[in-house]
Amino acid sequence: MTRQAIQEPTFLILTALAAGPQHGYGIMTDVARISGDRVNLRAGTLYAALDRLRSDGVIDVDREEVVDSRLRRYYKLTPAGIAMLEAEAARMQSNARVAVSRLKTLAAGA
Amino acid sequence: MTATLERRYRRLLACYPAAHRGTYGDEMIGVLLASARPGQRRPKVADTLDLFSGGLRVRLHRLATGTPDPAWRNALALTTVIAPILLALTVTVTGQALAPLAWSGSAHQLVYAFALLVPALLALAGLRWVAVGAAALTLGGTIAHAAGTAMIGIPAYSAFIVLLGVQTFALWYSAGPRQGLRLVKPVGLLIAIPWLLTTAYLASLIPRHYPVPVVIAEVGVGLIALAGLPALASPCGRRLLLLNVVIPLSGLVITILSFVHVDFYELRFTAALAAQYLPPAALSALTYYLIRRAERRPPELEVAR
Repeated sequence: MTRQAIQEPTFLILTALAAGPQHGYGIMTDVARISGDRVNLRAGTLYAALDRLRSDGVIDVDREEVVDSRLRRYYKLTPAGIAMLEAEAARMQSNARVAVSRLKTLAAGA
Repeated sequence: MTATLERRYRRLLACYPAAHRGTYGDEMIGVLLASARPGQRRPKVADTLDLFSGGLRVRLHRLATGTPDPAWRNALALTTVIAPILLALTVTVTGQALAPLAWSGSAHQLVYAFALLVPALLALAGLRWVAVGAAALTLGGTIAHAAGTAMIGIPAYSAFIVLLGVQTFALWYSAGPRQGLRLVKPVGLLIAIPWLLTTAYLASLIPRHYPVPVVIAEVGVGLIALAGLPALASPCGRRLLLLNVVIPLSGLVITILSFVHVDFYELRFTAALAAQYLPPAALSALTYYLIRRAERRPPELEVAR
């Protein structure tokens, strides 16, 4: 996939699903936890993203349950989604490594 | 009360396309209610804004990936047939020189009316991008003319210009008039043709004084019959109404506001204009509301099952 850097909410949603299939509310609370409450997804943003990720083939429905007579879907990463998250994590890691090493050099030189 | 809160959140979900609501509506309500405070009765402001922007994003994404629902696809294709006829008839019937040149007289009018059909004819000949270019040129030319002669504030123009914009968009985005003609129902011609002849006759009784918005409303509704007899009761027909009548007429509101803002000397004239054109604008808003309400019902019934 030739993609540009993915946006942070998308990255966090994929990271949440890397722990296993989750439903919408589960993803929402998990994203808040992963980001240290910095990113608080709301229903509108979350489901616009889930819809887009599904149509891009990055995530898929794992299973459906009915809780309190309401449909609850569990979402999971597809192989394409796993590859995308891996690539993005590697890219961020490599950028961060360069930044850290340069900051060390800067501090040593000062 | 959870029921009150749920009903209010469901109302907000109307800003999403029906297909999206059908798939995720129930889940979204679940998430919204799960994150509500105990005893909360009204949607949180942040959630409301988020739902609006989410709905907009979903719609834009669908537009960009070319997956509108069949009703929109058909309505846009039919619009490439209806809008040019509507534009040409408006010029012919009202006797107003909307041409990029200050033309007057019936011969010039007919020439200009024919010129308005050119983009659609180009598209029929299979020259889609040339057709889009021609439509965009007509739009640009009319705006430039209107702006150049300070006529942009005349209500007639705003409806006409918005309709030119709708046509350009439909030519660019839809399958075009060939597909549109395939969707025309022969029985619709039985309604549309007598309707148009009647309008033309009425207009000929008071030439040059027939307001453009009224023609767009009358002729537009008549042309929608092309989609079949109960066209207005179908999702495609309702979208045709929105594209060819409601949206062009809603352009009038902007004009009226600009009048009020710009020139207080014209206030009496403005009041007259408002009296004449606010009713169609209000009617447009009401139509849009009724369309939305009619279409919001089915998915909710499914959910309630």
